[in-house]
Amino acid sequence: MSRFAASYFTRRAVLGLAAAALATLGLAAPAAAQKAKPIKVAAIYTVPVEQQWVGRIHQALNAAKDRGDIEYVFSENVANTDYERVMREYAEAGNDLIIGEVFGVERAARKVAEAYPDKAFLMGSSFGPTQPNFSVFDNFIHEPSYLTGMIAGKATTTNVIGMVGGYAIPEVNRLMSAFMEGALSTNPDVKFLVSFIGSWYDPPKAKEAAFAMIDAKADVLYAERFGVSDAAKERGVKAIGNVIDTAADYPGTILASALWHMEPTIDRAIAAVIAGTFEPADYG
Amino acid sequence: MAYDGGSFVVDEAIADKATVEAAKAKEKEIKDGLFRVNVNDAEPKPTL
Repeated sequence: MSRFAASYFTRRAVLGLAAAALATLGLAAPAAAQKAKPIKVAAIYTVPVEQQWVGRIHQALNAAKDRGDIEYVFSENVANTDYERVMREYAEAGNDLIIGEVFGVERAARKVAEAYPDKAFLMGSSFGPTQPNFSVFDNFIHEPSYLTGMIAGKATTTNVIGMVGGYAIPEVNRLMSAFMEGALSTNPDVKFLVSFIGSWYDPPKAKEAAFAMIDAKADVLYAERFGVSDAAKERGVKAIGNVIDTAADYPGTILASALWHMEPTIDRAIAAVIAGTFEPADYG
Repeated sequence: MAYDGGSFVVDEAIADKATVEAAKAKEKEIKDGLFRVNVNDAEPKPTL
């Protein structure tokens, strides 16, 4: 295990132990009342729901809505500077569970949650849960990412793989690192080009970065962001998908994909709110 | 993967068959807890 992984688990482990200790001492939030279906759920996204990462959350919530477990509203394209206001509005509107991603507003989001202790918050986050009601999740798909790397490493004939990511945050880094490790396991001679476009959703910019990598001899592209597979298709090279399966949109281009399934996390949170047992925790 | 939070799909029509088999074998090892993929949060750097 790398020192980064060790520090990551230490951080989460410490936060988890702290939460457990508070609960043991009776200092955790009081147990919430049970709720009848459908509970009210709101989601706040900083990008369009077409974007693959939030799209998986949106899909899982729509499935819960179709089952009759929840009423579901959402806001997309919410700027980080506006995120806190939207959180407060959804809390004031009586939503039982508020879901989103707070990678750019970690501290402010926790303050909002603290102001509404009778609401449950479940947020994509680089950090741990916070009392009394702030739970977190993350996309741990490093394992399938490793497997896609195995496929990519063997597929390249130039021994050059291009990788285009959004931001170099832990949630992205760990997938790219696992992919690289997998590629090296099947092709020790492979080299990597790596670029971060500084956006979660800018397909033209991602495509431009991918074109530059193809010009530099990359013949397999890791498509962490939308736009990369378009470049691969246009130039006749292969791509590796991330989070969702886009193979049908790029026939003959997508070699393999690492898929994220948000349903287990969403369903667990909804069940906890309905049962009145929602507590600040790491939902995985 | 063992808890269905993630999965792996491959286009077997275009991927190398032997590597597909190797990846599927590795997938089983992961799910069985016999192989662990490192969690490396460090920013990946170009190697070319």
